[in-house]
Amino acid sequence: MTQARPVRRVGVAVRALRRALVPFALAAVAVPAWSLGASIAELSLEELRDVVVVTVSRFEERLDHAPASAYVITADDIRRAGATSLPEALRLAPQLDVARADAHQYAIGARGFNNVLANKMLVLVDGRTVYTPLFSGVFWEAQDVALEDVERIEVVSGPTTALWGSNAVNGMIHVITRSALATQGPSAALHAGNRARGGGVRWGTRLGESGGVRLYARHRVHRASERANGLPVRDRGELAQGGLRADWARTGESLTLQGDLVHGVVDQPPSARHFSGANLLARWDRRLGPDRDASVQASVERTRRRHPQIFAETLETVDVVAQLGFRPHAAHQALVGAGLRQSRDDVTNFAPVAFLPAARKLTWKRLFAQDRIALPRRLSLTLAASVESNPYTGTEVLPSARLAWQARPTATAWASLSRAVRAPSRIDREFFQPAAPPFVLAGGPDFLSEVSNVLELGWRGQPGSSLSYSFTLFRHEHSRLRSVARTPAGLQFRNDNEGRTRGLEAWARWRPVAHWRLDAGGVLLRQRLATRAGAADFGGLAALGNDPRHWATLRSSLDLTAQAAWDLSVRRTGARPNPVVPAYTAVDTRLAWKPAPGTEVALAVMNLLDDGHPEWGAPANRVEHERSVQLQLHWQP
Amino acid sequence: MRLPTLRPPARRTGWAAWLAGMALALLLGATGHAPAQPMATEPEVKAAYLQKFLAYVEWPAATFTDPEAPLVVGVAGDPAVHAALQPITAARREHGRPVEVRRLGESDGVEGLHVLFIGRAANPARWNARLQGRPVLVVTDHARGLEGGGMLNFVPVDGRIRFEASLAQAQLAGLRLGARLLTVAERVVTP
Repeated sequence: MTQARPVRRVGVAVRALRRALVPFALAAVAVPAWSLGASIAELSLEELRDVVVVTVSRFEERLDHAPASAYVITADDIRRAGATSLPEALRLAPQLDVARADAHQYAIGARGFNNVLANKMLVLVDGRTVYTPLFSGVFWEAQDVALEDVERIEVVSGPTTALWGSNAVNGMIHVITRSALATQGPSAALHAGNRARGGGVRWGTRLGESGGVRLYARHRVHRASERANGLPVRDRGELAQGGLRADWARTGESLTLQGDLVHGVVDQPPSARHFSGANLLARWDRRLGPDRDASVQASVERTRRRHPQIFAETLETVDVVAQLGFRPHAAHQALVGAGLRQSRDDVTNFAPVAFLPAARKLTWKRLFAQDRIALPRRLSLTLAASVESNPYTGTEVLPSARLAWQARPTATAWASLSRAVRAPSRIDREFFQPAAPPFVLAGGPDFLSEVSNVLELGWRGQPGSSLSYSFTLFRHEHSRLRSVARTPAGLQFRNDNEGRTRGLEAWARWRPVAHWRLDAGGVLLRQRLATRAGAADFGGLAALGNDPRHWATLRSSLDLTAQAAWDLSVRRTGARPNPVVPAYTAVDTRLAWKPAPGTEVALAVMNLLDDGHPEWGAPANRVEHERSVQLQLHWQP
Repeated sequence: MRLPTLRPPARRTGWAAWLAGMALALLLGATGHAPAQPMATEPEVKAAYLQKFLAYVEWPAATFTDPEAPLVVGVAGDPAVHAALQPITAARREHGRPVEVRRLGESDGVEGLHVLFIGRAANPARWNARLQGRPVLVVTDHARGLEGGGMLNFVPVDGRIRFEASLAQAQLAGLRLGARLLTVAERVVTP
């Protein structure tokens, strides 16, 4: 049995950050001290008369009116749905397929290829990417964002690789938390029920004239789930997370500092897995002139994960992104930027599986640019591209073009064409089973990037203040999808699968009367995948994803009185083919009451009408999600 | 079978980090000459005005029963102004009271408001009809806003934003506009 000793030395990534700090220090001397200058709110009435009005050149149009398949989950939506974890909050986005595998694991994706190890979605929290280079996916259990302080979650389905790089092939989820200036004072939230309990506290205070900071801490425990036959599954877990966010804002400039600490333990066979992490992020935005603005963001992160007798990992990452928005011409709104991401991944291998080489440095560099051109006849053309170099396949070019037509003041038609690429992750190239030869699975030395050419057509409108809707037709042509080939060295990953995904995403929001709002949304998905002629695949196709042909939600939000509110949602997901998961319909409801200003008490029931249903996994050992009843308390004076 | 050999990592970390650092330094250097003329976006300027107005308006004595009751500002028809107003009023007090900002939709009521800002996307006639002579400071953002029932109205002048005042409307609602407001206003409509 081979067992590599973890190498403990300062990450190369951290050294890179130190080198970057020297020019930072030089710049600090040149920049005027932060305390000089006044916030616009400090100006007198007379002085306000002389303030020159400027427009913002960066793309600040409201995302839910943008010519893209974008949905914004608001803080209000999250609260009314009674979501107490980020994956549950993501069920509110109609274009996402959210399947709960067990108490902590979820398969979340858009446009197909859904998997617990889904690798085609880019997920960010306040601009910080949270995916792991092990498999380009997200460990949802380690992202316990304080939902009470989330301002909105932007979900875009379809490729956003032209601006965000090669991980954003099927979509992007961006969790945006509220500024520290908007979360002042204390707040506490508590939830307890038959399946889970947890709570969090937050405290915010001002920092000087133009700044604020908040500190938060939260803790969650999930009971073990059960199988259809009633036997318990080993997935009981306990998570703790805490951190801070500080913001300084004055006219035309803002600085944000954020940091989090995470720790969790989740039971699994043969024994519980542990994970922990720490991250720190700094972001600086500044308006440079009437039509020019810039922003820079730097983040560092260190995560550790230990799955006893399976694998252990220490991952250190440094990420720096800078971008500049400007208007080279009256009809052009442009954006250019560059990003550098370096990770040091140190894996400890055990007998069953191994990542070889165990320790690895990974670097991604990208340059991106976008130009929105205003054309006559209410047309606008957005051209964007990023050029990215990744650790495995060198440089990839990711272009996209989007044409939008403002058919009416209240309706927009749009079309887009993109080339999106999913670059290899460690599991595609360096995964071996077992850890020592003879290998059954011997990595993927020839594995290349997967390519998707995507065409989208969309129509969105807001005919009145009480109705809004969006429709998107999409067609993805896939080539070089991951396949498993038989070679003399063992099974290896190759790119011999291909296919096509087509479908329709639609949603609408209607407020028939002042106190009642209805939301409906869903997706029709048709996917056809096959191995290309002349090649053979040994199980790779089935591993690409397990997607239903449709999913839909209908939600009602009713304000019974000024203090009481009742939300009801019905969600349906079609059957999954392989492994077979039957279709299910679930009803969730939440009744909330505000006994005093700043206090809310709610009763939330999930799976109201059924005794339990599975959402993911093979019949032999999958979890059935039972009725869950929860009491929720939120206090914010 | 041969295990894949561990290649030593190439040492290319230095230049990329320097590039990022130098780009930042240039960016900061280029902005070292801060413009003398203060600049802000339209919603920021309007939000700053709204917060300033509060100090120069007097509501009838009977409006406030509780010394700790907040001053409630409703914003209709302009989400950008609402977003810009929240951090400004977050920890400031006017007349010794905390300021609460509410975003009003088409079908929301006017109960509990002390200030109503009717933005571009809202219909001033409809909102003024709802107010029915209540002691609410109405700030509009429309051409002929004062004639339509507003007490203060934003007017664009030469790339800047100024305001005009209507003493007549304020008196009808029982509000007193401070002398400083009237001095700074572009135009004052007297009863």
